[in-house]
Amino acid sequence: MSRQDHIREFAAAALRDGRVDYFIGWKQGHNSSEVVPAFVKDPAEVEQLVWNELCHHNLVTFLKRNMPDPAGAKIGVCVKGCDSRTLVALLQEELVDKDTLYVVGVPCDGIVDRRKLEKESADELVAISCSDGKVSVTTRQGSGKEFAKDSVLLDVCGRCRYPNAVYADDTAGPPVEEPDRKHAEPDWSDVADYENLSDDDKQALLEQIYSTCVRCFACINVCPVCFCWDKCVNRSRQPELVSQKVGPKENLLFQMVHMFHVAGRCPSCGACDRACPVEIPLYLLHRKMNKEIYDMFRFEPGTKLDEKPVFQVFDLTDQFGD
Amino acid sequence: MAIKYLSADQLPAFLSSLAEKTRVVAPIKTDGVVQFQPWAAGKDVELDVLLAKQSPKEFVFLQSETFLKFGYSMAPAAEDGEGEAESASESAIPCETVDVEALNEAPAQVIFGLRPCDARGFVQMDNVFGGYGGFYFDPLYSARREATTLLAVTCREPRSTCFCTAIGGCPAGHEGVDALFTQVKDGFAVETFTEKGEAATAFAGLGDASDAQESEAAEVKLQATGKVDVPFALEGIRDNLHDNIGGEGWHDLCMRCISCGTCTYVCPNCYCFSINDELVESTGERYRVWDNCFNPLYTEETSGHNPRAAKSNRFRNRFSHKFWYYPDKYDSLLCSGCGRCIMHCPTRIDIREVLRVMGTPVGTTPAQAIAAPAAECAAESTAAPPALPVEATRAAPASPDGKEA
Repeated sequence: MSRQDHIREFAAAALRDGRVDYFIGWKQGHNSSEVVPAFVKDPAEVEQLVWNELCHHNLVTFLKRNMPDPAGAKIGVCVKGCDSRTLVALLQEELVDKDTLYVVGVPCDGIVDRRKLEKESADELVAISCSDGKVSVTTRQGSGKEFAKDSVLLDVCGRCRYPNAVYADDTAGPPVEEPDRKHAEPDWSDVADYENLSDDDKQALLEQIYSTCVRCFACINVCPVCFCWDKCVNRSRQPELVSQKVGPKENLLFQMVHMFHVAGRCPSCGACDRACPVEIPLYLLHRKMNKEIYDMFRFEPGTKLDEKPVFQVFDLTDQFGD
Repeated sequence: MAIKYLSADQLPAFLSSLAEKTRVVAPIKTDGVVQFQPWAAGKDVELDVLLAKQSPKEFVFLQSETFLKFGYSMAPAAEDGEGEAESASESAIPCETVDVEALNEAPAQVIFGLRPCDARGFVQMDNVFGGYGGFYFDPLYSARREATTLLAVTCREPRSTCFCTAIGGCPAGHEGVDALFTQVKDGFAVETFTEKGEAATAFAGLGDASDAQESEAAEVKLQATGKVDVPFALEGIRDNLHDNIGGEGWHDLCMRCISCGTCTYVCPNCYCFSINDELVESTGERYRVWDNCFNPLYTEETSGHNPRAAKSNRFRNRFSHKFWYYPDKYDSLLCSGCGRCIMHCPTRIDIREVLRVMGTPVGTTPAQAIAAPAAECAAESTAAPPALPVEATRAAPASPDGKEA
C-alpha cells in the first residue's frame, strides 16, 4: 500500500467517524506540475488527495490562529518531518489545541524544488513526474527534460535530520531511515559563505537580497509559527515601529523582525522561502539564527513535545556566546 | 498605418537611442528572476520568458511614493500681554507653523517589452486615477502616466494560465499600447497606434516591413490567439457574483488562502493604497504605499470593528471588485487575464476556478469547458481595440419561465 493510499484511508476513516470536520492534505493543482493544499470534508472525496515529491506546502500553516474555519473546528492534517516540527513548536506554547487535531505523519524522502526546474527552461512547465530517482518535466510546447532527483531537491532537504514526523497520531506507511542524530552535528555549511563575509559585506548582501521585497506578507502569513496575524508589529501604525515604506533598509528591518520573532520556534522548514513571489532567499537568515541557537543552547526547535522554546526558559548555566 | 520592421540586432541601438532622452524600462533577468527594471546599454532584454514576475505598474503607480514633505517650526513667542497669570501662561504656549512642500515628479519614460495585458492594466487603472465618470482625479498617477510610453510585445507563446481572450483581450491587443512589436524572423514587425508611439519609434534603424514580414506577423498573432484558453464564460458573471454573495462556495474556495497580498501586488490592475505620515523630530513626510484587500487591517475601523473580519469576506472582495463593483462604476473590467495571480499565489489559488464556481448561476454546476471564440482579434490589429462594455458581464435577460432562450 502506497503512502498516498494510507493518507486517503486515514482521511476517509477520520471523516467517517466524525473525528475531524475536515482533513487537510495535498492535491493536484491546475496541472500536474503543481500541488496545492486540499481541504476534504466528505469521505467520498478523499480520492483527490495525493502524495508525491511536489507536496512542499507545510499544512501546519492552516492550523494557526484565525485559519480554522469555523473557529475551533476539529482538523485532520498531514505533516512531513519538517512540518511536524513547526506543529510541535505550536504545541509547546499551547498555541493550538492538541485535542482538536488528528495528525498523520508522512515519512518523506525529499521534496522537489519546482523553481530549480523552472529555471532550466524559458517555457512554462505543465507536467512533472518522479520515478526511480528521476524527475521528468514537460513544457507547454511539448519538450521534455529529465533530472536526477537529488540535483533538484529543495536545499532544506539535503540537510534533513528529521525525515519522519516527530509527532503524529498515525503514520502513512513505514518510516524512512533516520540519520544518526546522536553522533552527527547538523550541517550548517549553507550559511558558511554568509558568515565569512565582513560586517559591511553582510549588510550590503542583506540589503541587496531584500531590495526586491514587495511586502506582500506571504512569508509572514505562510509561516506556521508566525501567529500574530492582524496584530503584526510590522503592520502596526500606532505606534509605527516598522516603516510601511518599501526600500532596502526598511525591508531589511521588516525581515529582521520576522527572524527574531520566530527564533526558537522556526525549524527552517523553508515555507517562507517557497512562498516569496519574488524569490528572495529568506531561508538564509532563519538558518543562521538556527545555527546560533544550536551553538549556544544545543537546541533544535520543535523536536520534543515536553520542551519549551529556548527563549521561554531561563537557566543559570546558559552560556551566551563568546 | 504602414508596418515597420526592426531587426533583432538593432534592438539595443534602438533602446539606446531612447535612453538618451528618457528612462527606458524593460524586462531583465537577474539571478534567474525576470523583473521590469531600468534598462542600460549592455543589459539583455528578456522576451523569451513570458511574463515578468510583476507587471510594470510599479513604474507608474509607485509602490511607495512620498508626495508631501512637511516641517514644524516655532513662531517667535507672542509678546506678553497684560492679563493675569493664567492668561499669561496661555500666551506662553508656543505658536507652531507648518511648512508644506508638495512633490510630484513625472520624468518621461518608455516601458519596452510589456505585454498587451500589462498595457490594458494601465487603461483600467487610468479610469480610477484619471477622473472617469467625474470621480477622483489623481495628479500623481496621471502625470506619470502621461509621461509614459508603452511599447508592448506580442505574446508568441501564451501560457496555460493566460486567459486574456476570455475577457476581451488578445495576445496582440493594443488597448493602451502606443506601439506593438511582434517577433518575426530575425526581428520585429512594429505597428504604432498613437503619437507617443510614433515619436518613440522614430528611429533610423526602423525600415518598412516587407509583405512577407507583415504576413508573418499576422500569422504569429493568429497562432498566438488560438493558444489562449477560454476557461470561463464572461456573460452573466457580474449578476451571478451578486447573487452568490452569501454563497458557501466562498468559504470552500478561500480555505487555502493565506491572506497575503501576492496576487494583488503582481496584478497589473490592482490599485489600492494606504497613506502614512512619518515624523522624525520636527520634519516628516507623507507617502502612500500599496495596500491590499487581503490585509486584515485594510478595512479595520478606528473603533476596532472590521466589516471584513473573516478571510472569506476579504477573499470575496477581490473577485467581486474586479468583475462586479468596478464594472458598475467604470464600465469595464478590472482584470486583463495575465494569470500572474495564479502563477505566483503561494497556494495557487486560481481566479479561473473562482469565476467558474462563483460566476455561475446559483444552484448550477460550473461548466467545465467553454468553446474557444474565433481567433479574430489578432487578424485586424489596426481596428479599434476590442470593446468590452460592462454589458458583456451581464447576463441576457432570462425568459419568464426561467429557461434559456
